Amino acid sequence: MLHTDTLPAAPVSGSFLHAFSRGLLLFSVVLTGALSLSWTILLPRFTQFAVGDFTFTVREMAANESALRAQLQTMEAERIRLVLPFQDALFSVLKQEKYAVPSLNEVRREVRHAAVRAQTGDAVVLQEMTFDASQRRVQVTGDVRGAGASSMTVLAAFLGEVERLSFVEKMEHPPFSRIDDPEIGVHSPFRFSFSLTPLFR
Amino acid sequence: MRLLSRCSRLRCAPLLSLSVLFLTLSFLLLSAHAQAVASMRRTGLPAALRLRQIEARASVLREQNDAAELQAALRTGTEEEILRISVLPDEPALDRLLATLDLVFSHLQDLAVLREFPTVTVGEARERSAGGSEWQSVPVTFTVAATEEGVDILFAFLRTAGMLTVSDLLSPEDISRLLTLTEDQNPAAITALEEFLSVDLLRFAVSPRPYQDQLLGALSAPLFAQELTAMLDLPSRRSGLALLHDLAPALRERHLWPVRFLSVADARMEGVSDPWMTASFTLEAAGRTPHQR
Repeated sequence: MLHTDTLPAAPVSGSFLHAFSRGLLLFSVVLTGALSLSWTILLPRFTQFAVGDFTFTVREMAANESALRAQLQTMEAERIRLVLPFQDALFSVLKQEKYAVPSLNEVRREVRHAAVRAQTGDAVVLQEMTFDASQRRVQVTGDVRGAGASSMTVLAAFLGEVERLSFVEKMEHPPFSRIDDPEIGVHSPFRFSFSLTPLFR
Repeated sequence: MRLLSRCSRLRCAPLLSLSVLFLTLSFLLLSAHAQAVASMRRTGLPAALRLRQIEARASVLREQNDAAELQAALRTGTEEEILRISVLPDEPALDRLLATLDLVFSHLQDLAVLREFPTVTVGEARERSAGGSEWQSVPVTFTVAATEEGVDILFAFLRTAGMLTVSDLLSPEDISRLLTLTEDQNPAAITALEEFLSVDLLRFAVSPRPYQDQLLGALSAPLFAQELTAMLDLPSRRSGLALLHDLAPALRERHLWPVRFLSVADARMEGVSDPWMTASFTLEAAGRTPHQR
């Protein structure tokens, strides 16, 4: 009974499996073939772009973009060369140096305005300003007078205003001191320096 | 398990294995398709748009360069000659330099912004080099007692000393900006801009209006006019042009134009808060080295 129960089922199940395997193989081969054809023929056609008279793939486009950008830069440089009345290497270098040197008078004016903004009245007396073009460095010497015991506070407020000026790159703070002079009263002399930002004209 | 062993017995196992292999291949191809489409949407489309813009810009630049080249061919080359003789001479030419300073100090005295005529000291020439160029630099020092206005005028003079044309007054960034504006508004106007930049600075200082109007005739957009005016209206440029305007007759009469190239090496101002301050300058008068003759 055992034999008669199991043996008739075997051929039905075997032929189904065989047919299923053959069908699955056929489907997978056709699918792979179709996708391969799409990959080699269809996809490149649909992922290309026509720019001007040329057609690029995505990869080619990235390379072309950088090449075209470089070409643009060359053309821009050529345009500047053509538009200027003449070319002289030495003159260009000297002009560049000149453009880089700021107007010390403008610096002086701004430092004086900073003293006014610090609401110090005329307590801040600017005595000397020196400017070193090669170092792009300005040194300011002066004194805070007539502010009584708050002369050091006035000086700190003034320095804060100077430090906030757009062209001040780095500032070296002076030592703060308060001197009681029998002639001029309580005063705070100062000497500080700052470097100018490269963009300041 | 029983099904598999039966499958093995029926020889369908190789068929199934092959199917799995092809299906895996299909899956890989499918994901590659998805990636390609995603990459096209993510990078391809924006890049295509950028490429079109770059192509269009390159075409405009080509046209502008062709037009500018034609205009440049008409130049006589006199500016280079003037530059060699007057601005960057290959000899000390101290007479011209001192005559120019004399003229400026006299002008300051006429305006009552300079207390007394300063003593000018001229030092030994020394060689300098930067940016692949070599030149001779003659140190010139003087100290003046002047008002704020007087010092302003002196700085304005030093700013313009050595400038030949309008292009020298503007910075390279300004010129690039003007070129970009012509490109956006009227590419053909590059020739008008080229002519404007070549105008002699002294002539421009004396009468800027006709030259500006000529340029604005070709580029009438308000933005261009606005930016050009802002560039020329910078305090340092405005005061430099005003000074040249005042000095023009004397500079022409004494054949002192164009002025020798001068730059500030260092400056010191004392009595900064006082009405009259003492300002000391060390200038460098540039010239070509003998072997550049």
